[in-house]
Amino acid sequence: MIRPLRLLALFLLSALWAPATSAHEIAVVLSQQGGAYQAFTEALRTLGERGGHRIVHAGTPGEGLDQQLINRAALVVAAGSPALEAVLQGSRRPTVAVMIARNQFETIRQRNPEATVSAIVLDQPAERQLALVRTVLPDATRVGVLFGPATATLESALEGAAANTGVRLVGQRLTTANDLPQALERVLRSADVLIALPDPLVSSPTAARAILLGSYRYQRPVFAYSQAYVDAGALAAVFSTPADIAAELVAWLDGSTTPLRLPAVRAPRSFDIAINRQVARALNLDIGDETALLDALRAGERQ
Amino acid sequence: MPPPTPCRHIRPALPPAVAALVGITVAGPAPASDDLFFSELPIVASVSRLPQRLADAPSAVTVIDRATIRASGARALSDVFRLVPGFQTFAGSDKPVAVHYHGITDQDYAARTQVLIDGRSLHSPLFSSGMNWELVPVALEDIERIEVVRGSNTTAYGTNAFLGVINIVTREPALVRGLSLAASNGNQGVRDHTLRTGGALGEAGNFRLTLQERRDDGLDHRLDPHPVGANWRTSNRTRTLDVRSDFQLGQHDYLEFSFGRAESRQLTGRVIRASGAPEADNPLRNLDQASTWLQARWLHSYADFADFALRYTYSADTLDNSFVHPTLGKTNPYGGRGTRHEIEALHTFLPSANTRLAWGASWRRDTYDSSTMLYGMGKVTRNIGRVFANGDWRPTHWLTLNAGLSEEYDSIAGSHFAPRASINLHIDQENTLRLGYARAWRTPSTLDYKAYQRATPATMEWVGNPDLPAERLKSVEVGYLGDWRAWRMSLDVRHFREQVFDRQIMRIRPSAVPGYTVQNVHDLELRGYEFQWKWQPFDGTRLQFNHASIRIDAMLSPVGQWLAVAPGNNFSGRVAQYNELSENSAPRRSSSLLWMQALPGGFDFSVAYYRVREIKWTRNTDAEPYNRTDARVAYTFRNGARRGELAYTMQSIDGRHAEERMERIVERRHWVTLSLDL
Repeated sequence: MIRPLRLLALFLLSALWAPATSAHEIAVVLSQQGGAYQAFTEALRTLGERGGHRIVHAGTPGEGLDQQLINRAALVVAAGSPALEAVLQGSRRPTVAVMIARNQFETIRQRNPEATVSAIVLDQPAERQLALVRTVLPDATRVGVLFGPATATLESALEGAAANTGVRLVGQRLTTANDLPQALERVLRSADVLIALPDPLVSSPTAARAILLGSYRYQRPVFAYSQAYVDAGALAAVFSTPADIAAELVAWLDGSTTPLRLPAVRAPRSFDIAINRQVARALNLDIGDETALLDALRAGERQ
Repeated sequence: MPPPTPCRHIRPALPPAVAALVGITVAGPAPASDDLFFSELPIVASVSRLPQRLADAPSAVTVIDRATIRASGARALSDVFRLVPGFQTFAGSDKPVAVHYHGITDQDYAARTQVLIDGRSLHSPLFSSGMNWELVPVALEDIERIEVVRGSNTTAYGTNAFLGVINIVTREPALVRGLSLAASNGNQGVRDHTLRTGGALGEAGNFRLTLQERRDDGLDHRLDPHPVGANWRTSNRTRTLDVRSDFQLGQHDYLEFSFGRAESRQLTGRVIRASGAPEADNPLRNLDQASTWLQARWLHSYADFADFALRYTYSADTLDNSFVHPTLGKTNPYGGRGTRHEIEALHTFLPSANTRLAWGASWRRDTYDSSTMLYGMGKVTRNIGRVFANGDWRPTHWLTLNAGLSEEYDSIAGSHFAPRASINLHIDQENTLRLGYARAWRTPSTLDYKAYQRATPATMEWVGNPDLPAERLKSVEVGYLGDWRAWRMSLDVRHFREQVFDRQIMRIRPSAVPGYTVQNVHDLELRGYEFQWKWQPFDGTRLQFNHASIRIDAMLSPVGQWLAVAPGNNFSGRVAQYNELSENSAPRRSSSLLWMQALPGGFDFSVAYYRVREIKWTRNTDAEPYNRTDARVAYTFRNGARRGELAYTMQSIDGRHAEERMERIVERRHWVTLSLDL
């Protein structure tokens, strides 16, 4: 009886220490060098190589793709929509898109129905955005949102999440940039806070400026999707950094088998928040410590 | 956001206006969605643009928003200030409208309360360094909000902010789109027309443009019984062109250009009481005034904790009411041309997480040219330079300290130094106590020093007083601010003691030689309290109650004491009358109540009620106590993206009363306004 037990223990140990299946060669295609894409590859290389994966750089659409590296790789990682489009044009290797907005990923996937492709998207789940609002401002009950053409499909998801969170959604749809002032005024008049969505129409620099100016006028804080938006003047934002996305990808790789089975399209489980203290003070809001807020949000998601 | 460190925003030179991350320029075409997550955005929450918490403010502040302006039923901007405790104004007629805080009237143009529009002072060298309320260069519809600082703040706003500040912020061009048309038609000749439009200028710019004309027949003249022809109605017409544009250049730079023109035509003059015939040396005639202005402003935000603003303003004002005088020939009393160039640099930053500092300097060049008022003198130029610093420090959550100082050099009035300090104690999140102390100066106008106006070819009407000192203020105040958010209620109380030394009065003849002068005859003590209570019991209901109680005691200044006993002047025999002019220049008590109510079906309704005790606007006039009720009903309709509003406004529902002097009767005035947003 001792031998089989020992065998079992050995098997378990080997499963724990050296997952037999998990070392892969990954070809990374970036939309362009530098900036956030660079931060992503660096994080991926550090985390991936720790897990035994081989990370190779297979070019950018601008400087050309290394098709040899792509065809040899177990998985292609395309960072950004230009990279994804370039990869899908030349290869049918399993591909995971990262650093991409959900709506853009869906558009590209529809154009390439036969591609084996999934994504870790930048968009934060509706529940997470609302949880941020509720955690930062527990008294806020009416949440305003402006939907542009690129984000109109998110309305039902936000409606559902709002119903679960116990807040009311005050939505306004825009079809052109000229609709913004009126729609903004209507939302700010009836909502306690405004969630800014990453829509080209609603979050262009000009529109973001108008939204923030309006938000101060009505004393309604803006909750946004990026650190830059908080620097510009939003009260708070929840977002996944390039490192969060790389960590999500590596965690999936570490747990996957050969041949690779692509994950479902999803947002990273890890995320970060940012708070603009000056805006909080100007709007006379008493907001807790960032770490405590982040812990509360993370704890809420684990439940 | 990490707390800013002191070293981060001290930079030797302004960096170029280019910011790129992931190769995306901020002002470029709308980026694709995934780029949005990592692209930079213009810094909107720059330290000078973010509103200061009322609980941290060094003075009592009344904020008037768009909804309040609309609900007040005001047609003229001056009428809005009836809703600010401690302010006085009157319905416009043949006498230029004035808006005063805590009285001290006498001049046609209020010079002791600073009026700013988007940082530009509206005070003019032509209008006795005061504000001409007939030439308001902005339509009410374009005002975003008005912040009225009740209390002296010359260290932040300049010499005219002697007793208070009216700070008007206009609509951001980014928030104005499409075309709006409005027309009003009512009794007493009310005919108003407005065109407003706004749009994008390229990828990163916006503009808004407004054209407005307002007309009415003014007020009746009451003489009992009426001699034929003695009832002369005034007539008013004002026209405004207002253009504001802005450009966001990259992440850090914002440029603003604005220009405009305001014109006014009124009937002026006097009639002889007995016959109703016009006076020969002051006949009934048109008074034409105009103000043209231009402003450029550059705001550079280093980051959200430091910015630098540079502003240049030019304005030119003209007044023409010339007529042929029996002995002087063509003459133009108070007329002429005044110009102003002003440049101001302002650096605002946070040296630490709980300190804010704004310091800067400005240079101003005023000219005044009038062949009647400055006879034979040509153009008079005046240069004024100013350096100032204001800061606040919050050492702990229950305490805010504010302090400011300024030094002003004036080529005519000399140099003046002014300090200010206040302590705000935050008892808790909802209750704040404030103690404030300020010293300030108000420098007299160019005309007060230099006037040379003839009465006849051989005698003088008005001569300048080169020895005139600046008026001096010492102010102590205790304030309380309650902000009960759960109840949607707030209360602001201000108790003040303001001492004004060398208060100046016009038309005093110091000797038997003809020729009036301005003399610093009084020292005043103003004491009283003001409060302002706001409550929003329901979403659709807003209530506001304001009250002011003030007592002014006038004493003779050393100059006044000397004039009171000196022979031959026109002061010694009328000391009591001048005393009255100072002591009754503000009503002992004044209150106002505003009720704004949203109704179902797109209707809303508002009532404003005012109670004002007697007041003396000039030496020879009185106005008895009056009550006044204004009301407005509006119906808003929508047709797709188009919006329209039909409104009916009635002023002085309680009927005939006088506001400025007993001879000018304010009667019920009502009009209908239709506005369409296309």
